[in-house]
Amino acid sequence: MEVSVGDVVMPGDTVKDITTITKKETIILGPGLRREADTVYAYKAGVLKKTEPAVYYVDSYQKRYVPNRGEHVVGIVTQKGGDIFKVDIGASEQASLSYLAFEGATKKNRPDIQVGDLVFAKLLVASKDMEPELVCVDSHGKEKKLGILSSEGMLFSCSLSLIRKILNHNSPLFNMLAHSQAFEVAAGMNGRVWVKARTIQETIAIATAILAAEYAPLSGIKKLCSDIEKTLLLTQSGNVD
Amino acid sequence: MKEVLLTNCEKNFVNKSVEQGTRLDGRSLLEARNVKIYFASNWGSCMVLLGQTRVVAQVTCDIQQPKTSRPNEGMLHINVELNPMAAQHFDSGRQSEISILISRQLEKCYQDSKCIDLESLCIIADKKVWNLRVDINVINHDGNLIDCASIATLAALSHFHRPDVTSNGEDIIVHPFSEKDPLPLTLYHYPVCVSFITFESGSTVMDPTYLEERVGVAQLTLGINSYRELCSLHFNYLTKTMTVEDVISAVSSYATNYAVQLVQQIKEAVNYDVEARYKKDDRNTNRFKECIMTKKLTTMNSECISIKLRKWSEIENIESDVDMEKKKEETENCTIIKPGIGSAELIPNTNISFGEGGPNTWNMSESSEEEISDIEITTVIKKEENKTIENIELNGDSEEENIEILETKDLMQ
Repeated sequence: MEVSVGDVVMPGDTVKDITTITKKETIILGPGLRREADTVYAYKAGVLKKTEPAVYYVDSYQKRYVPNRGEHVVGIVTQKGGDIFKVDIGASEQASLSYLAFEGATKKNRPDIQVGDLVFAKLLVASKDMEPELVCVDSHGKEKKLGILSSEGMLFSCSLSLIRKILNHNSPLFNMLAHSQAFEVAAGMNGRVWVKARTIQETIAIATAILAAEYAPLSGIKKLCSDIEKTLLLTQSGNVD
Repeated sequence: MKEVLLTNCEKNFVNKSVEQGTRLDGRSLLEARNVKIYFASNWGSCMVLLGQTRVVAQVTCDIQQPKTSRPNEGMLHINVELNPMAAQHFDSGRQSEISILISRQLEKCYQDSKCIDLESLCIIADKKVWNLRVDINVINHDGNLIDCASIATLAALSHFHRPDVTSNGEDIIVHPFSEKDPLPLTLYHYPVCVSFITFESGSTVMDPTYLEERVGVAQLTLGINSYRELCSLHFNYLTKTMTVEDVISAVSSYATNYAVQLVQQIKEAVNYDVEARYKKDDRNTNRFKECIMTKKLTTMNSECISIKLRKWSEIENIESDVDMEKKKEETENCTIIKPGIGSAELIPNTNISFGEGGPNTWNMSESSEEEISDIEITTVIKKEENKTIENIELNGDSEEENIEILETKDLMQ
């Protein structure tokens, strides 16, 4: 079946718009689209989207993470051995993280990481035939926001589409939440989110807000945030009684 | 596939929040998740939802030769299957340790407590008996599989009907459902499992989720029937710990009350569905198709959100709150007016002291079947022990034990 931008597509559908373009311009096919000869096929189910000038992709709902180079992920350290850590990032294979890939780490000065700790890292290598490789520094050797996540916070998982939604530059969720709450958050593209706030109740409230954002339209985010604030006030007043 | 490692961060957070009396999904420590029961189109098949945990049970029967040790009794087998659909770390094919554990616990609860009248399943002694088989499939795993599986087993067993059998001397004839009405099984009592998890801090939570099950240090499962009798008990340390003491005595009375309530709910659901089948009236029943509800994607859909604060749902329901309260009052009134139903809500209502709470339920029990649960009767007795002894003696013929208790009371006075 032929589909155009904005439609729900199924695997095997052909995209009409792209084949009819005759202008000489670069077309980028994002995730979920594949070209065979002159036709472009969708290979995922979802909504076909287009961003200007000519980037096409399929926005799909999924929970299983497929690593992509350059994405930030939250991983769980599962093994310590020799000079690398094995990190579970929710992909089909565990990723490796060198102990030298931390800010200020040298052969003598190793980072203090235990099995079961969380790291926020960037994917350096992610190809389908190789083990993914993580780093916790940028190209200047600085840590920036990457590194070990404190074990005080809370970890939960959500769908990949929700992560894309809240990490989108246009998403007002974190800005609005930050007006009333103080919190730290690390959202990995692999569907894992780490949250830390001052109290347990606040942490749970932030997590609720993030999970509820999946069902909220862009205009409903404001109401969601005020609901969260009200809930917290009620809970705190309830504790005082 | 391997189970995802439990992170230090989750462990700390759950321990700390339980210590403060908060649970991640907004429940209080001793609060269970909602139970939903859906029935399939054939007898003895149901799906049970306990929060996000989902289990399907199916009872089947065939004719077999009995065991030589028990020639005049039917047989009951319980089989639990866990496949990767429930959780990624479950292997398909071979039986894992956890599935053996669950099926053994269910066997203890249902087979060893002799809740089913197996003698009525005998067709020809030493030759042919009915063999019941309960197949339990876990569809989704979000903790507390054993409770969910036990609810499903009980609902399926009490819903199941076997074909009628007649014998003409030598041959036996199994009648299809079109020829003779199928017969239900006889259950002497209705046991369910109620599970608890104890944490390092020493606090115990009821109906644990998957995360809580992984963080906890000790696990307790009580099998309790509607007569408040213990049918099975399973206590297990998950790690080496010294902090756990006196869990059983602390939670047992609470567990009993919950079990009574739960059994009542299961019975009502089963009775409702069975009646609807007899009347061939398929409206307003809880069938499989009802559990596949098309959900609207709104923020109000708090059921999908696994992490929330207790007051979160209150905020959402603020508008409808007033109506809800009104309805609640109405339903409470209804239960007082209609005492014959025998619902769980009746028990607190009898606290009003006897004689004020509507018509006398006591005389009703004479005419009605044994089905009406004995808890009601015993509670009523407690209330009026000193007032009307004659009345009890008149109607107490259904229960021998009760008479004895009252007579000793009588003597003491």
